[in-house]
Amino acid sequence: MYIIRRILGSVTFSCKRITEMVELEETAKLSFTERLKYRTHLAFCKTCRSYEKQSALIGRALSRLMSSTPKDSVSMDDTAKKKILDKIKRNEN
Amino acid sequence: MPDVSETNKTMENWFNLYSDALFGWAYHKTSSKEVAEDLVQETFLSAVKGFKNFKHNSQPKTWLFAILNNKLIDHYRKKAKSATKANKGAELKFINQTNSFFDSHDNWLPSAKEVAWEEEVHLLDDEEFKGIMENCVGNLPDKWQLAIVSKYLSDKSADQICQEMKVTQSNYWQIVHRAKLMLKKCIDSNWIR
Repeated sequence: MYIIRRILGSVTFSCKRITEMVELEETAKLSFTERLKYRTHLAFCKTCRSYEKQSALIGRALSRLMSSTPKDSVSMDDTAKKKILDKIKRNEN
Repeated sequence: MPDVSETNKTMENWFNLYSDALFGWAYHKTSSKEVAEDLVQETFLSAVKGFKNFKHNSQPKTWLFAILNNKLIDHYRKKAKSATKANKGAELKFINQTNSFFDSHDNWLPSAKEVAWEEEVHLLDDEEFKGIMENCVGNLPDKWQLAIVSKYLSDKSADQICQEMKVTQSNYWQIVHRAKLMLKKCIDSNWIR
């Protein structure tokens, strides 16, 4: 494993660089040659292959997390509501 | 242009309809009632000012949430800006930590336990997994959280986010990259099947 990674690292990119490129690949910011080397690395490196998938899953999870509504609903207390309503009115008049 | 009393009435109506949902959302994202109240207030004050820009074929709720999301990002930005020395130290610690995932040739170090979770798309609907994700994001340095929230909460372009965060493109991608690495490790060690 170690030897393969060392060779891959010198022919293509290091694993760390690949994890960086995963972000850029998603946004199509890689050049043709970069993409070729990137793909070659992934073809031989299982850990980076997993990482690519994990990164995509994390991305999807983050999108969901940011758009998910909270399960337990909390509501604002009435004094706070009244205060804001008053401000809205004052702001206009 | 709508007159004052019309705006007033609409806004009161919207406030009664959506303030709880907006508050719940803001509270969920900030874990603070005071901050959430302030954000809801700012949202409505901005809504009053921007009411003439509201397109009447769009949903008020969607519009208000878009305003709130921008306020939320502002909030994260302020938090990241007030970066004290301690915060910078924390960021450095995280940078070192992400570096430590790799050997001297920048290739992966074998990790103690390899949990394969990448194929499990159903995790996206798993409440426990969501909770872990939330905690993992919460543990990131403020600046990294700002990058993540800006990227995934809004439909802003990378250019826009960079301008607002006052970082270069490559700096921004580094932050997203390192944040993702930390999240991966955090899930690796917290997700137990």
